[in-house]
Order: sequence, then structure tokens, then C-alpha cells
Amino acid sequence: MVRTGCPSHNCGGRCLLRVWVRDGAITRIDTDDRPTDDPSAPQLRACIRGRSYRARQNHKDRLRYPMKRVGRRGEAKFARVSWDEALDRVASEIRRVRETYGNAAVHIPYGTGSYNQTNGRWPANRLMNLAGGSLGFYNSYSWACISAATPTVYGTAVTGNQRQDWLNARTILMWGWNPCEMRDGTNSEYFVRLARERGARVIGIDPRMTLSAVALADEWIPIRPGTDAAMMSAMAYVMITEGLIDRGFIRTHCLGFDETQMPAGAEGEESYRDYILGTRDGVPKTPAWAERITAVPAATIARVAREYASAKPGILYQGYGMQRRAYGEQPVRAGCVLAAITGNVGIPGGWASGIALQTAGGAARWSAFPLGENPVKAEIPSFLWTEAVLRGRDMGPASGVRGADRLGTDIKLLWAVASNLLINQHANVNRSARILADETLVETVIVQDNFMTPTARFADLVLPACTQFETWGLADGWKYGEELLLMPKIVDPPFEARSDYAICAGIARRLGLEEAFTEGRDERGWIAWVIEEYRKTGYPGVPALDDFEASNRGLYGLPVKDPAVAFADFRRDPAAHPLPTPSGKIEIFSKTLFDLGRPDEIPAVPKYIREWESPFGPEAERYPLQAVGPHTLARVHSTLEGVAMLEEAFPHRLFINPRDAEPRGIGDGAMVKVWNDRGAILVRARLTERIMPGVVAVPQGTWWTPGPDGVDRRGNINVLSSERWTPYAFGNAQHTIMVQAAPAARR
Amino acid sequence: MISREWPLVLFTLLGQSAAGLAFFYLLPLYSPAARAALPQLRALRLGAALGILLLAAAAAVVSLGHLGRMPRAPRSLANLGTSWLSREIAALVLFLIAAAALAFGELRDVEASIRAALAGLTTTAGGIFVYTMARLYMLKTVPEWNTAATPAAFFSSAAVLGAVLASVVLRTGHPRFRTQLPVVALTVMGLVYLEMFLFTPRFGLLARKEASPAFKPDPRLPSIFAVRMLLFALAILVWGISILKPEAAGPAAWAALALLLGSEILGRRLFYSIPRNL
Amino acid sequence: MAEELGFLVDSASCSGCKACQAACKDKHDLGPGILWRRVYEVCGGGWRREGEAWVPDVAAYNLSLACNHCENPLCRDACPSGAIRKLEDGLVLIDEDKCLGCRYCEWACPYGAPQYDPVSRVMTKCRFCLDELDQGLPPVCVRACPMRALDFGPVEELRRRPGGTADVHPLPPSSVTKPAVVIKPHGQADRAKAAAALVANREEV
Repeated sequence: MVRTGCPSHNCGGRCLLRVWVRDGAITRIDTDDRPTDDPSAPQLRACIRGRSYRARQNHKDRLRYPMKRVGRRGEAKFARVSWDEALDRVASEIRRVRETYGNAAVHIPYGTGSYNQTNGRWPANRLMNLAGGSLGFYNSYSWACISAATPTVYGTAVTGNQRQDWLNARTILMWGWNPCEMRDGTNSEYFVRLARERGARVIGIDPRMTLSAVALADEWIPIRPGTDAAMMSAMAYVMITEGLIDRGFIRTHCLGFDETQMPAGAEGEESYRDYILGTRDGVPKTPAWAERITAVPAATIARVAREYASAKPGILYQGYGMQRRAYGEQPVRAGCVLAAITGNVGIPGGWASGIALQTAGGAARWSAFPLGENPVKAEIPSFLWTEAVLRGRDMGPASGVRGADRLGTDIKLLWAVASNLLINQHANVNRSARILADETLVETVIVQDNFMTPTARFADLVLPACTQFETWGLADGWKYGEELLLMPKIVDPPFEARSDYAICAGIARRLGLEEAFTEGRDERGWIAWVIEEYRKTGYPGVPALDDFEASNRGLYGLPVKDPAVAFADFRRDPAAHPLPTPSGKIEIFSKTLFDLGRPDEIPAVPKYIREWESPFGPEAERYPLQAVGPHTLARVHSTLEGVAMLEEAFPHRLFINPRDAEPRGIGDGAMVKVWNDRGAILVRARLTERIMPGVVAVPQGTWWTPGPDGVDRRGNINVLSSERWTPYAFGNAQHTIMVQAAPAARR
Repeated sequence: MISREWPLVLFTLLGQSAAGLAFFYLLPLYSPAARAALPQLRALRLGAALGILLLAAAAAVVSLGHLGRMPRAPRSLANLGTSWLSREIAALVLFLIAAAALAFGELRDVEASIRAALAGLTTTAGGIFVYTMARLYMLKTVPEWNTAATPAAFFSSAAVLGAVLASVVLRTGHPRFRTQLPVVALTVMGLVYLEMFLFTPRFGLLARKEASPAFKPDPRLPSIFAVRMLLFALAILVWGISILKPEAAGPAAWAALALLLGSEILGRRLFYSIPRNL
Repeated sequence: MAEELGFLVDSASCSGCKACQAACKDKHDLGPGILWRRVYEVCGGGWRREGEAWVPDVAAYNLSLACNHCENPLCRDACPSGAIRKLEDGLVLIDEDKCLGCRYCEWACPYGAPQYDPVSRVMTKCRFCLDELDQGLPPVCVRACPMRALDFGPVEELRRRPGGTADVHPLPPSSVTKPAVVIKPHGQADRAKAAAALVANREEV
């Protein structure tokens, strides 16, 4: 039995597994068995996903050999080749594209099928950085808006108290936040439970009555997707008009709340108070105004506002689903502002909202494997890679490009490592498939993965990579986590599969970079190196690799007895500890955003903006249902597809309210076609009262499996989602979609 | 769900037919009046015993089909103390032995009183068999089965199957059965129809309904019940025609039997849809 | 006589994440469709339109059930082959070497505990992880729960803890089999009963 960190990919948790091996194969997986389970260092109990890895590991569909494409791209016709032939070809393609178009024509896209030190895309990044660089990206598909918008308020993304501090809260608003399913830190759901036992009242605000709403919430408030900023604004209206705001804190710590504290150069502009009271636009953001938008009763909005502003300290925890939407920046900023005007910032039991990366030692680095420096300075927003394929040469800052005025070239070589992004996880699958199928656009597609994913089907070269159980790794938490989890190599890769690191080392050799790339280390050698890195930063007492491995503890933890509170110094003395914002204060009004001069889409104070696809526009006539693609316990994004135990526990379904299903003749369990202008999917219906009328949910991540008619048989919601990006973060807005649904025609 | 119940559907049909036949077939053949026609009826009596034996044996064989481990079938007698399933198998064995003894007696032409006693034993064993079969379903954990309606339904099925089968077979065997038996069968069919209408578990007018079901009921079941009742009514109608129109009696009787069997199979589909344990 | 063991299920804190179910399946290598521990999603109620608002009156919660090792195990009484026994410590076990696979116990158990294994063609069910108990460890399902909503112990002791019952909608009355299970009902259990809530995830159990 070996203790190891769960491969966990990108689920939000980081758990401990105990893995039994017999005859070179994993035979059983259990979880943390430490004898103590104290809240300062609770057991890292794996969820059903972590417990299902045996089936994925031993799956018959694992990629076995390198393969090259023999049909048209996307036809998924492949022929086996030797590793030598495959790696020669990768090296020569990198050389050719580099020489023809420049290094910026090579792109290693976002992907989290594995992203652990020497596993996943990091070695490819390291190699390309040594080989002249490649077009980089910033931002992610998870956190685009929240990671960009939080600093517009606080100047930093480190806004989170450590979770043990949640036990001091009296009110917790789980706003679009569902820790039971997406976990968002192993034990986050458990800490909310503990807080509730200590007397906190918990309210879940979500269009779905999620697992978290059932297990953690005293009250569930369904809200129409994409309207969170409207409810937040109406809450501010109640707080302002009823005198529930923390005037002292606003005066000393905030900027732009009202006309008395506008930043220089924006003195006469619309303050937050102006917007809320409607002094400029003539629309007071009353609860009644918000009821029409959000479908939440005005009285409920007012009650929640009073509760959050009065029963302090309180936490307004923002989930990430609501920021993967058309104007996803707004609910992030609006939530932060509510935390600020109620004075919940910088105090125990409070919560500044925003992305809430961890303060003081708890922050995860995700990977410490050294990537070197990228000689190509240009970066694109991760979500805009198809734009860079189609019109990269002319893309500049207006399209989110950083580090260059123009890219100067289109993307010509895509090297997807542990990434099913290109087809499956990017928006508008049919569009992505058309783009990739055109061999004159991207000339070379290399995919390195464990399975023949929908992305791999569009590859020119498929390289079989090993799983986390087959190489060395180390994880340091996700968003939360006070542990280092060691992931020893437990079993050998099957057939000819190789580690991502070994594959990259082979390419490096062919590019004459082997020594620079490996520095004489193998995977284990790098993990030993990485541990020393962590020893220098947050984990001074971590044992060296040999001892760590020999102990078979699997983890090295830093128990949290005295949880850190973000902005405590700032709270105490804002002059001595200013925020890293331009003003040093909490920027309710952001002069930076104001200066962008796009108030309709990027207002300087957080506003509700009607989405470009919504129940209120003309599009609702043809497509009256809002569709959301929540995370499910059955997968981690598109990882773990095809594991029987998960599909048995959480079968893929369209979740639809009977009020929407019955008039359409959709029965429970019936096969349903869901479509919009971008495409159509087939998926079985689950009639449930646990979703609000007018909204349907199709959990994201199933593998695109189009039939001859182009209709996806496996219900991938990205067939329906849009490639349009958000105005400020250039982030994905994949949940902003309207659809229609009807019983599928019998065949 | 019904697919794995098929062996049980056939088992109950065959077993109840055998028991019903034992009642309606043996009674006229061994009645004092029948003794007068002794020589002519000997073949019928031998056939009767063999037919009952055959049906019961077929039931026994079919019942093996729902066992995961057929070779362990003898173990089914291991819990006579508390298991009605064990008792049912014991009753089936007794029934088989009695029917075999009767057939042996007829074959060897033993003393008439012994044969009559064996016939009585066979009939009684058939009755016990049907009773144990019904008791098996009277589980506390399945409240809609756990009523007198279950044995009522089982004995009703046995009666109607037995009466109709006996009548169909015997009417060709001897003229004296051509008038009385069909009318008896018609009466039984009418009574059973009423019983079904009122007491069919879950679906009958007066049947016990599940207090707080855990699952959403299958919306198709009420219409299946309606079709069952319709088929049965048609069977009665056609049977009536067979009585009124002697020239069409043969085909009509067989048609009625077929309708009846169809109705019974639907009835069992409904019956096995009842347990909805978690 | 040894103290009878039972499970404690805190339905109020159960999210329905099925880590318990998965832990059980992995440890015991249970194939598709075999769930020694199952999580029932109970859901009822509906919605009303109030002005422009949608107001839910929805009650939902989860019940994670394995075998309740009943004091009055009707499965044992029903079993024709005598394959089901109740041990000194209260555990109800199936002797798979004696089982005929007749599936009669499925009907006799109101909780869905006995599960037919189509490969071994016999009935199987929760063994309370006797091998773990022998090592002084809790059953794997108990150890698995991310919400710490499962516990086990002498059932009399569990019954003394506040707020427990074995009569939770839509379970059958506990008088039928006297299950050795203590359930802390969810706050919405009464409303669910009033709304005649049903098991909503039938295909998953």
C-alpha cells in the first residue's frame, strides 16, 4: 500500500489516496487514514472521483503506442509509428514552424488533464522556452473574470482567509458556490458544516438546489443565471437606504462609494451610490427592480441584505460559475463591494470575497517545476486561441494580447499536452472542429494524452502519455491546502506510454537541448529538486524526498491553529498597510476601468448588465431556456469520462424542471434533443424540482461524439456554448447560452 | 424488471393450472356418477393424472430458471421453519408425488378406492401448493401483497385456468362432459372476473394501496390492468359463444383459452410490478 | 450477548456525493449495478409564481443506506436455503456458498440491501467491513464521508444520541424489521413527507 496524492487533475480538491498494487496493477484505492481528524489538519478524504481512478488507470482504452494521422484531420484514422519516428516528426515540425513563421506560431494551450510538476504541459513549456519560446497565454477557463476583476477592487487576488476562520462566521452566503460537488478545496464543505454547527446561518443562492444547498444551506434561494449582480445591487440598495452599511469603514478604507470620495480625474462621475440609488440613470436598483430580473422575490432580497449586513461577521462566498458568463466581471466586483460596504473585510469570520487566494503560507503554487523564461513575450488570453489561429497576425491589445502590439503570426502548431481543450472544453465545438479540420490554418496538431479524447481525434500525431500513478509528482494544494502531497511512481506505464517529461526530453535531444532540458535529472530527480524549492518557501520542515518516500506518509502538512485573515493589517491601519491598488484603498470605483472608456461593458462601478444571450432578449423566442454546464462529481472537466462507477452514480442527464419538461412532452428518462444555432446534442432528461423553471443544466465535460447528422450523442454542452469572450477579462462566457429542448425523434 | 420475472410468470401459470386442473378434472372423473362410465373413462383418467403430473413437473423445471445457482436447488428445502418459499417447494414435491402415484395407480389399475384416495390426495396437494405459493408473497415488507387478496388472486387463477382447461379437454373426451362443464367454467370465469375487479392487489377497486410509495408509479400500469380486464371479458364472451353455438364450440373454446392466458400473463406483469422496495 | 452494531446516518449533512458508495464498491470489487451502500435522493414539492419571482417549495435530502442488520431480519426468515444468518454481534450475513440466487430476499428486505451479483449469481450485501472492524477500523463507508455524516457503533449507544430515529420518509415503518440504523433526519424531512416526496434518483439505486 502506497500513500499518494490524488491525481485530482483540476477538480479543486487535493486529497490523499492509499493505493494497493498487486502484480504491477492497482487493485484498490482508499483514502486518508490518519488517526486524527482535527479541524486544524483534517483528513483529506477523497471523493468518488478520486476513488474511481483504478478504473481509469486500468482502462482498456488507454493509448498504447504513438500514432500518426492517415486520414483527413478529425477523421480519427491513425497508424502506429515508432517513438523514434514520432519524436523525429515533432522535432522537425517545431523546427519547420519556427523557421517559417517564428516561435510565436507555436502554442501550448491551456489544459489541466495533468498539471503537476513534471507531468502535464509544464515540461513542454520548459522545452519550448529553451527552443526559442512559444506563444504564451494568461488567464484560465476556470477563473478568467474572477482573477482579473478581484484585483480591480483589492489590487490582489490574495483575498481569502484560511478556512478554519470560517468557524467564526455568523452568516455564510454560498453564492453560486457548490463545494460538495466541485470541492473547491478538500474539506471546504466540511468547514461550512462546522461553521453551521457553531451557529452560522447558511444561505445558498443558485439556480440549482445543489448537493451543497441540500447538505449545508438553511435556505436555498434560486436565482436566474447571469443576474447575480442585479441581486447584489438591490442588496446594496437595501443596505444604503436602511443605514446598514459600515460608514466608518467605507470612509477610511474605500474609494468611490459616493461623491465625497471619488478619485482624482473622476470627481463628477457616477459613484457606486449614484448607480444604486439611480441618481444618474433614473433607475433605483430596488429589490422590486431586481425581482423582475433575478426572479428572486423582492422581500427575500431585502431580507438577505439585512441578514448579511447585520448578522456579522459574514461570508459572501462567490462561486466561479457565475463569472464564466457574459459580464462575469460584474458579479465578482459587486460581491467584493458588498463585503466592503458591510465592513466584512479584514476581520475574523468575515470575507473579502473575490477569488480569495490564500494569504500567508496557504497559497498554492500548483507547480514549482522550473519553466525558464519564454523568449516570446506575447501572450494571449487562454480563451482566445481560436482567434489567434484565425487572425493572430493582426491581434493586439484590443484582443487581449499582452507583451506585444501585434502577434505577427497566426498559430500554426498546437501542442496539446494533457489537454482536451481544443475540441471538447472550448466553446462552440462545431466551430473548433471546423477550424482544426482546415489543415491550412493550424498546420500541425500534436496531442499527448492518456486516451483518444475528442481533441486527440484531431491530432496529426498522438503521443501516449502516462498517468500520475506512473511517474513522480508533488502537489501543494489547489486554492486551499496546507499540505504537500507526494505522488510517487507506483506502477509502470502500460505498453509504450511514456511520461510527459520523458517525451519532452526525447524531443529536446532531437533539438540539441537535452542537457539544458534535463540538467541530468529524471522525473524523480526533479521532484527532489522541487521539494527543496518548497523547503525554501512555505514548507521549511518538509523532509527530503528519500525520507518523504520512505515514510510512506504521502503528505507533509502545516496544521492551521491560528487561521490567517486577509487584509487584517490593512484593516488595522490602512495608511501603513495600503492595498496594492492605485489608491491604496478598496476601489469600489475603479479609475483604471473608468479610463478604459467603455462604460457600457466595463463600468467603473459594478453594475448589472443584461447578457448578450438572455431570457430578456429576442433570442428567447426561439431559445427560451437558459442552459448552464455545472461541474459534476462524475468527472473532473473531461477527465474520468468512461468510468463505469461514475456514470452509474451520476449518469449524464439534462436536468430540467417538470414545468419546462411537461409542456414539451419530455418525460423523465426520455432522450431529449437540446439545440441552438451553434449545434445540437442528445441527452436523457432527468425531471427535477431542484432546478428553477426556465433553466436547464447539462453537466460539462462529456466527450463530444457526433453522429452522422452532426448531433452530439454524448451531450457535450460546449456544442451549444459561445466563443464570445467577456469584455474586460477576455474570459470564457460558456454558461451564457440560450437553448431549446424537445423529445428526440425516435430512430 | 419483468424479464427476470419470466420464469416466475411461467412457473405460477403452470403450477396454478396443474392445481386447478387437479380440482376440476379429477372431480368429475372420480365422482360416483363417473364410475358408471368406468371403462370408457379409464384412458381419460390416466391422461388426467399424466397431464397434471406433466404441468406440475414443467412448473418445477421452469422454476429453476430464476435461480442463480440451479445445482443448489435442493437447498431450497433447507428453511421449512420460517420460509414460505421452502414450504412452497415442499408442497410442490408433495403434489408431484401424489400426481405420480395417481398415474401409477391408473396405469396398474389398482383398487378403485385407492385410486380415488390418490385423486383426493392430488387435489388436496394442489390446493396446498397454491396456498403456499400465495403465502410466499404475503410479505410484511410488501404491504400490497400482504393481504388476503393474494391467495384470493392465486386461487382464482387456479380455478379459472383449471375449469377452462378441464372443460376444453374433457368436452372432446366424453359426451357427458359437453354440457355441464362449460357452464361450470363460465360461472367460475364470471366469479373470478368479479374477484379481479374488486381485489386485484393494488389495482382492484377495494385493494390495499401503498401508503407512501418511495418511487414514482409506472404510469403504464393502469392501462395494462385495463387491457387485462378487457382480454378476460373477451374470453368470457367467446366462451359463452362456444356454449351457445355447438358447431363452433371447439375453436371458440380454444380462442377463449388463449385470451385467458393472455390476460393472465398481463396480470402477472402487474403483480410483479408491485414490490417497490428501496 | 455482544452489543449489536449499527450505522448512524446524518441525513441532515449528507450531500449525496456517494463517496461512501464508491469506497464500498472499490473495497469489495463490486461490479456494475451492485450497491451494498446506496444513496437515495428524496425530493418533493414544487414551485409557484409570485409576481415576477419563482418561489420554490422544494424539499430534498439524501439517505445513504447499506444493510441495516435488522433485529428482525425478514430476509433471513424468507431465505429458503438458510443462507442468511444473524450473528451474536447483530450482523446479518449472507453465506454466499449456500445462496441459491433465488432473489426472494430482495422482496423481503424493504431497504434494498440484498444485491444480486450477476457474475457469481448469488445475493450479496454489506458485511459491515468485518475485516476492518477486526483491525480496529471503522467500515470504509464511514471513513470515506467527506462531510463526516456517517458513523457506526453499538446501536443502543447510537440511539441514545440526540435527534436520531429510524423512521424517516419514505422508509417503511421501523417496526417492520427493527433496523439497527439511526438516522438524523434532514430539516426538510417532515415537509417532504407532507409533500409525498419520492426517491428521485431511482435509476441510480
